[in-house]
Amino acid sequence: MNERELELTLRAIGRSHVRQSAPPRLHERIRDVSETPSRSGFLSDLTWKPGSMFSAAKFIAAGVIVALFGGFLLTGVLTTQQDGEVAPAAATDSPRITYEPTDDPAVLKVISEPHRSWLDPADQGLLAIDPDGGVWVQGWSGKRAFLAKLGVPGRIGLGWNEHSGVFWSGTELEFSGDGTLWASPDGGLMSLEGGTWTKHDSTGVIDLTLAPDGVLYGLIEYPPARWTPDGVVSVVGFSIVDGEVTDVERPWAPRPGKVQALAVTPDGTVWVGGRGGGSGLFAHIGSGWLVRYDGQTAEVVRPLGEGIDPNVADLAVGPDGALWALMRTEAESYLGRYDGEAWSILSTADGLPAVGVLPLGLSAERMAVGPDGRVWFLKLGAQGENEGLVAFDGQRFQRYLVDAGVRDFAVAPDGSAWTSTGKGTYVIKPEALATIE
Amino acid sequence: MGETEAERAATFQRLAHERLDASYRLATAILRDDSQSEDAVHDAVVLAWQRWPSLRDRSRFDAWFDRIVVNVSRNRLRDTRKRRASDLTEAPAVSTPDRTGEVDSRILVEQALDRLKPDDIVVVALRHFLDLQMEDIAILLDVPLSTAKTRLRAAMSRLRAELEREGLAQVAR
Repeated sequence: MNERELELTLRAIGRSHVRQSAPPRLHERIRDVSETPSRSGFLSDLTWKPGSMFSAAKFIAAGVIVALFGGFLLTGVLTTQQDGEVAPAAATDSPRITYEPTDDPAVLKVISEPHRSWLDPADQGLLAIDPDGGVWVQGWSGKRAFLAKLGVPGRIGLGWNEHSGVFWSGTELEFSGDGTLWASPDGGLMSLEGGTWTKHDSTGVIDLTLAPDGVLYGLIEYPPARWTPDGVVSVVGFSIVDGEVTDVERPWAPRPGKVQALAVTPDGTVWVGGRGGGSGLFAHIGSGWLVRYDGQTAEVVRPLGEGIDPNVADLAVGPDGALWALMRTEAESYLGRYDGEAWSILSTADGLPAVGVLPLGLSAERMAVGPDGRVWFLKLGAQGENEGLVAFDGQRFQRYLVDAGVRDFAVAPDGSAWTSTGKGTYVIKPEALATIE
Repeated sequence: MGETEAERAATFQRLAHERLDASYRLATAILRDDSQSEDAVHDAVVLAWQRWPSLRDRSRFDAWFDRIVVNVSRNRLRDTRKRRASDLTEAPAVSTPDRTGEVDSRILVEQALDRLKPDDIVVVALRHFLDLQMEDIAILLDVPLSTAKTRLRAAMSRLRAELEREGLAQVAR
């Protein structure tokens, strides 16, 4: 290839890639963006504070994750008032969120105008709520994944696999108490920094959970996705607080099976739940274990009594500090509450819908307790199919969005339960629940 | 009398709409990916609106906005490279033999181009994909004309070296 041929080849490459016209939705974006006050658009919602970096070598040596801390605080506050109204944020434009009634009077369909073209209602994934109540939804546009904050123009690309064409299938999306967003795509770990994602050296992140003190805890299988010869999975934990990584490597007695649930009660006790050993998609779904770690020793806990080791689908902590556990044995489903001294157990005889099993690859974090003490969890069917959201107010169980294909949910500081589904975003507001009750 | 927020937005919208096609051309030339380009121009619009109060001479909007698009696109190239470098799941780039030598050599040239630094890719794209004059390239890169010419020469030299390494060779100098 001579010089002339090289130039002709370059021109041919240019012709195959250069587009003459911008897609119409980019014109829409101009309108969306410029309808926010200049200097206070989506990107300027992110206020940066100094971070610190940990070397990969140090992290690897510690046997836990390398955490690169890049925090941001959201200055735009998204506060919901009455149905159909959204309070203007103090530091940003008015979020354009409206609500449409559904057949269920307690459930409202969420319409977030700026994202109409980005947020395909049928293609939503994870959902998280920031410390200020802002609702963030992850979705896909074509094969590219992105993240958007409802009511605020703009979006952020997600995942490091987008350029290799690998479909992003994150399992976790959580804000730490300082407002940093952490995501676990395909078992890895990323944090949002400057509108772009930083990938951390980690694989096999099973669960991320926010402790009452604002510390984000994570749970990793180690070695990731691999069974040891004796069928025992090692567990590695980590915590992230103000840029400091707390090494809590292997604090829990390794147990057979697969870890899938994590919670930290206000007294600092770390609780880890899992399912029994074996292989296959639904192997040993009716057995598992619950381990309590107090910083010194780990001990197996049996909420259902001696000799019974249930599959612990998820764990959550209530505003009163009580631990909640969603469990299943071969024959029965259970919702347990531990107040620090004793367990209270509910079963299907008390109205608890049968708890399904989480297929491998799905996030375990599917239960949450709101500030009002209401317990929320995803109802999964016998084969792991999604059967809506369940709320327990201490008296009775109520099911919502049974046919919507709920993909994820989170409870806001005001007690609203926000869900991302196969049919868009929905919210169940506490005032609506109070009316029904 | 000062401009109201609505008036400022209207002016920005008009200028941005008028420049959007040209900006998208720029981004697609540099990034060679429609989806990435769309994101880059979107990000450029957001940045431009944030910086809008700092643009005193609005007759210079086109060049000002194009520079933002070029910078955002170049940063995306850097990010892409970082991700690719750390992405263990991505299959290694392999040239697939094609029935026509023309397509095959195009693939090899693109792969060689991908191995250049983002600054090199940008200047090659502006010159050879968009056929821009060096004076215009200098304005877009915000550098003196002589610097722009030097950068292009160096970039082409590195591209030839990459091609020779691939065996597509004896690229005439």
